This record gives sequence, structure tokens and C-alpha cells, in this order.
Amino acid sequence: MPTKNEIHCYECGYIFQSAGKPQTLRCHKCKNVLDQADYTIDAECTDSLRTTGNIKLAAGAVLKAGSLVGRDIVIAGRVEGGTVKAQRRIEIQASAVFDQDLLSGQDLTIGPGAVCRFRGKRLFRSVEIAGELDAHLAVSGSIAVKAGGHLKGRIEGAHLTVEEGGGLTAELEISPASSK
Amino acid sequence: MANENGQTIISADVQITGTIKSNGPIRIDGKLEGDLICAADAVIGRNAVIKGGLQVNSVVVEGMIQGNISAKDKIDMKSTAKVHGDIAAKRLAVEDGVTFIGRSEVNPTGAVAGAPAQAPAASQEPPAADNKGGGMFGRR
Repeated sequence: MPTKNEIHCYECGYIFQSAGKPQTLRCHKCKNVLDQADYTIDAECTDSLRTTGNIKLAAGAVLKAGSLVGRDIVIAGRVEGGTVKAQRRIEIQASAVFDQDLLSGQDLTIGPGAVCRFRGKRLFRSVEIAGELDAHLAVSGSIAVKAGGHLKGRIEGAHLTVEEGGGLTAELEISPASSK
Repeated sequence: MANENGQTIISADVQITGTIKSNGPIRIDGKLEGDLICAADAVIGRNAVIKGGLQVNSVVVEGMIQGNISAKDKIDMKSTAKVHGDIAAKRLAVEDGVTFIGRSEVNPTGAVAGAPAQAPAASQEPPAADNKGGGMFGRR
């Protein structure tokens, strides 16, 4: 049985399931043709790119302008301009350089070795930290600090897990009852 | 009362008001209004309620603590733990389901934090001179 993927239409915002992974498919609601390919950007980029697949801004690559819209977006390069919008997950790797105001996503992953600090309060569905993050977060789902990760700042959420070896230097308000 | 391992056990039907000091391991299943000072490892049982601070070597928390926890080694919060207070330890483990309101000071590495990754810094090297005029999208 082919795997079913969750598709976020970048035209109308409709979310639906689709089996397999053809190069393109039509949105079940607005009928627009959607790109499903995965992309890796490994040079300077000023163009916009929209896909229901995944995008990686490789180490050494630079986003100078334009917008990136994808399902899961991995940032290993530099974001100097434009915008990056992940429909699902945004992952920050150790070599990433970015301005937080240019990035958005439902789920956040801080990769091993990455060191990030966010200004202001940020809302996420889930957060996974294997590097270092200093932020004021409000998380509706789960917060997971992996071994070697370190979470600092102020954290409001429903579910917290910390692996042994994980660091936690923060003000916390963790209450599973608040998620019901 | 102590078990065969020398662990002191405060049963679920016991209520203590005052400070408990122990050089050996201790398990509390009852209620304590006061501080626990334990030079060894402590276990706070699922039905235990402690209104006071803990100073321990290590602690496994399954019940409710309203107070600060200071551990020389490890704090292990199980899914039924409810902690209202600050915690400080060398190591920490937290299971999903924990209620925790307070401040945590746990830094296993003890290392100083590095510079944040966001915002291009003036000191960083400029991008490569060969502008490919629009970038390259590699299709997988």
C-alpha cells in the first residue's frame, strides 16, 4: 500500500491526504496543480519556490530574496532576505545563519550543534531541541529536549520530555491539563 | 521503618510535620509538611505530598512537591510527578505527563553558551563573488 502523505496546498491552505508521491497533483479543494518535488538550494538564491515537498537550504547557500514555501524546510545556509515558510516543520542546523523574523513553521527542530536565540514570544505546535535554544516559547504540543540539547528562556507548554544529558535553564509552566 | 536495603520508608498512611534528615536512602509515600534533607537518594512515591523543600543526592519524583528541589546529582521526574517550585541539579530526566511550574537550573555540560546563529553578522565572510543570478534549485 502506498504511504499517505499530508498535503498542505500553498494556494488555498487546504490540508488533505494523498497516496504516493507523483511529481505534481491537484488540490482537492481549489484544483490548482501543486508541485510535490523536494528541492535542495546549494547556491545564492533570489527566486521564490513553492512546493508541497521538502526544501533544504544547504550549508554555503544564501537566500537573498524571494520566498520559500515547503512542507518541511531545513536551514543549513544563510537567510539574508526573503521569507521561509514551512507548512509543517522548520529545522535549524548548526551552520544556519538567519533572522528569526524571516522564518515560520508549525514545528521547530534545533539540530545538534545549532545555537539559536529568538526575540519575543514564539508559538509552535511542537519543539525538538538537540542543540541550544534560548527563547520565550508557547507550545501547544510537545517540547522534547534531547541528550546534548539545552533549552533556555521561558517555556509554556503542555508536554515536556527531557532525555538524560539534556539541559534546562528556564522558567517553566508545563501543565498537561491545559492541553485538554 | 527500613526495608532490607536500609531504605527508610514513610508509608502512605503516615503524615509528618517537620524536617526529615536522613543519611541513607529514603522513600516517602505519605505526607510531609516540612523539608527533606537526604544525603543519599530519595524516592517520592505516587501518592506522596510534600509541602517543603528537598535537598538530596538524587531524587525520583512520582508524587506532588510544593517546594524547591536541590539535588547534587540527578532529578528524575516520572509521568505522575507534579512539581511547583524551582529545581537545580547536575542531571535531569523528565517523562511526558509531568506538571512542572517553576524554574529549572540544570546544565549537564556546564559550558558557556556560544553566539546565537541568527542575523548575518558584519564580521562574517561575504558570499561568493560568482553570482549565478537567481540560484539553483536541485531537484531530488
